[in-house]
Amino acid sequence: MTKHVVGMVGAVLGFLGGLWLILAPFAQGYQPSGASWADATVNDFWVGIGLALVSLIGFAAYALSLREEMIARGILERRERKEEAAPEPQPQEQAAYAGNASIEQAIVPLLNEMLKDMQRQHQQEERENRPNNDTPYHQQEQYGRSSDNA
Amino acid sequence: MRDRSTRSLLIARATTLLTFFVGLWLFFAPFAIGYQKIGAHWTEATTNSMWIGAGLVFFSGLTLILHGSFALRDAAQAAQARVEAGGEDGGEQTERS
Repeated sequence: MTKHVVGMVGAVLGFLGGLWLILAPFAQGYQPSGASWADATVNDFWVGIGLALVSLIGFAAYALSLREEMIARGILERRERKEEAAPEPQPQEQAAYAGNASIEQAIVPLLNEMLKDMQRQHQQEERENRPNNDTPYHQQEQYGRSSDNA
Repeated sequence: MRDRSTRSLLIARATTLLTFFVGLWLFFAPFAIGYQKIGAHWTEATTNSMWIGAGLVFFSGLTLILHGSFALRDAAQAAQARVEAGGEDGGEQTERS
């Protein structure tokens, strides 16, 4: 993979050189603005444009071959596979299941709290129905059984 | 897939080679086009063209050399891996037989 990176760096340097060649006649001042272009300006300008384009193509080609090698080594996945997998219904179903699971996770604690609340209310009502008797009914039953056993 | 990779690599190498020749052209262009007289003091355009040309020749040449070296190294590693894999297969076959 290093060979592709080396090529990409070289292409970037070439591109920068091309940009400089386009700008150099005006930046360095050997082409006065408004005057007809000198031979040096024409040469630098057109060679600069060509160099920048060639370097861009080279950069793209090095990047493409790097991508292909990464796919071949299993570092990257090919994009077509994802596009093929997208229209299948399975991911939607999985998403629906995931949605149901999250709803259940949210509802179950609420239901538990409601049940506990109902049990508490039920116990309070039982106590209110027997205000004179301090010992609860089920304890009385236990005591009765233990005395019977004794 | 391998064909596409090889094709893009060929295009990439061709562009680097083209950059090398563009650098050579820039180096000699002031004298070839004639805006720099031989023996006269160098103008700014000549200096710029020659330095950029020399830089392009140097860096594109370096890129070609390094790229070729790394490509050779990768090819050697791949060949060695193939030989080792073939040796292991052969060993397994002899054990089975």
